[in-house]
Amino acid sequence: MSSLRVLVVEDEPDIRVIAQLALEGVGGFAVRCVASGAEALNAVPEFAPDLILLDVMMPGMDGPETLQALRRIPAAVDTPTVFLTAKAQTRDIDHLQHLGAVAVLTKPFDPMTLAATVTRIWEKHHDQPVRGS
Amino acid sequence: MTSPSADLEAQLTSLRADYAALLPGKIASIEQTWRAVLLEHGDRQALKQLHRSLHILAGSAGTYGLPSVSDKARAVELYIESVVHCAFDPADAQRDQIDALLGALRAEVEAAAVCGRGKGSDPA
Repeated sequence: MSSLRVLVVEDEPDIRVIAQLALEGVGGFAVRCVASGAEALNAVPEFAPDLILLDVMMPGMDGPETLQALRRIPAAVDTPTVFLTAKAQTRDIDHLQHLGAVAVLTKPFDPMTLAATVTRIWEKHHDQPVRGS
Repeated sequence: MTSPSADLEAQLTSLRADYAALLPGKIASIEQTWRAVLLEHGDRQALKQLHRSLHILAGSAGTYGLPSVSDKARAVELYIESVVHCAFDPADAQRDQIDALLGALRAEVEAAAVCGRGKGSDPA
């Protein structure tokens, strides 16, 4: 089982629930879910995620603003971050990657393959397999 | 011994059933927001709230194995997106178009409810 630690930042409860189930159940990841950018900033120092899954469209601090703020926290200054966005916004994928995301995933997503997708992204970013996999 | 994927499938089936059961309420809430838009003569904030609700539904319904509901919600979302940044007059053809798209969304939810009775939905 992998010990990858994934922070999910998503304001929509239905998506949080299914993402946590998919990442823990299939990937065996340690998952922390928070509902806002502000909660993410609080969670990062203690949880120390290996990867952050960050929703783009959130009330208050949106995904790009949250990423900017995260980069000012030592514990998250270079944590690979993946934006989670809707199909309607796929035209913005290039823009989102230029903001510093290592990848962009679209909603809807397949819960059965989410963990494998996250693993591939992490391994590509680090050029090494996930610990323990 | 069941595999992690089999366990996940079982839990997903349960989650999908819970989600489907709550879907009519989500649609009712969206329709209520649309009525508020009309009552407030196309109030931009109410329209943005409607857009956001549809955006959320489009993202979650497909993830919960209801891609056709997701597609219908996305269609309304995209239409509203196309009108929200310009002058919106709920008395003109835009109103009829949104009514029609919301009607199609409701029909899809009702069809999904009928198909989903007694069995799990197909995954996205």
